[in-house]
Amino acid sequence: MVSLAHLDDRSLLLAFRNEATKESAFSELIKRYQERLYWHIRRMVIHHEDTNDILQNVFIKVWRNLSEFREEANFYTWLYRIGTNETLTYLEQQKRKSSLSLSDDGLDGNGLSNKLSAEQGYDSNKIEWKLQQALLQLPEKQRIVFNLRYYDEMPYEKMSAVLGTSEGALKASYHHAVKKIEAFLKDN
Amino acid sequence: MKASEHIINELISIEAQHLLDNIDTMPFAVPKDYFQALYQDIIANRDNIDADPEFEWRKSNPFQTPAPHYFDQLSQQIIAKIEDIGPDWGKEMPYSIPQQYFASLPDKLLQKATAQNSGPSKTLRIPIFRNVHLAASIALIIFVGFGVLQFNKEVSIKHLSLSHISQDEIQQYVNDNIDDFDTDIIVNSMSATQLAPDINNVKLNREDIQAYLEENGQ
Repeated sequence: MVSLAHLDDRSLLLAFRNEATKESAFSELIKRYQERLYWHIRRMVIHHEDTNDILQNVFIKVWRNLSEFREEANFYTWLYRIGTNETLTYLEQQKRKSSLSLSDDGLDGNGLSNKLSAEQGYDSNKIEWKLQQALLQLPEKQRIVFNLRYYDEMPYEKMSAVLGTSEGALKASYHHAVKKIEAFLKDN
Repeated sequence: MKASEHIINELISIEAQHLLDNIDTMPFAVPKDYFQALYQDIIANRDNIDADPEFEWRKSNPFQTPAPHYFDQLSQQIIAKIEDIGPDWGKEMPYSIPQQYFASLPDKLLQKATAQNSGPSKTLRIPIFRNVHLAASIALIIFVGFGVLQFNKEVSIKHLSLSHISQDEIQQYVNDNIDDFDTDIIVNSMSATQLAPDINNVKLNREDIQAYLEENGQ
């Protein structure tokens, strides 16, 4: 397989439309974005296996729809949007499943607290795990806003394109999220 | 990766000391060589799905379709059904009509019309009806005249009464019966300036704005 690592996104998308370079371009796009997208999803769903399933679904959707995608400049935004939608859909499904089961899924309603405490190396006294606990107290969309800003350092303008929300509303949402997390960490 | 200066400045401005202290920590573990193998996994998965179009469905759907190629044939079946039904599908009325009604209708109408055109039929007039017609006409004139007088009286009473009701009472009535008011009626009865007030004069406090953002800002 030819390496296309030197190409920018726009050229990679053109290469994807050529049957001869399609797989190489796709491989390069995965390599380029897999870690960023992985962490974006992992912070939301906690469990690695769940993250892996969602991530693979995202890239398979990309494979199927990329030929028709014409806004080359916004590929990164488009990818994040698919990742976000897939993640939110997954969390919604988990909520529905847990509302039908009799198991105790914790306060968040989709079992994420339990998944967090089952993580390898989990220590509820360590600040980094406490921060993750604090994040689970936030509404899902606010958690996404916080993660994109705090961890991914995404500019509000891009975040606005990914989430379809105004920059002002995102700034307010991030501000509230930070305040809630600080309050949680102070009390715990 | 070190956090950018603008992210740190933003946290300083929000006074988020805990988050500042932990900005580069991530406690989750990732299996060894996960990212090296990810591409191969995705390609293998994609090939599985591409090879078997029902694969994705079977993962989450326990139901089976009646035939192996149900979806391949579905569109053709639907099109065939639409052609059978014809273009007037969905337009049938539930009412029944007498048999051969429309077939015999033109003849019946024609018969009636020719019978009327053949000249005035001889009608036996009994003098008593002349008096009845006269009495009915007089009664109608009196009745209509009385009605017009009453109507004018009511309108003037209503007009008089509204001018005597205070602004507070009207406002109270509107508040109590707001559900009865249609938006179009309200909009049509207000002037352009009333509908678009000066935004600078709208008094919102910090709590109002915060509550709005909490509700709509996610």
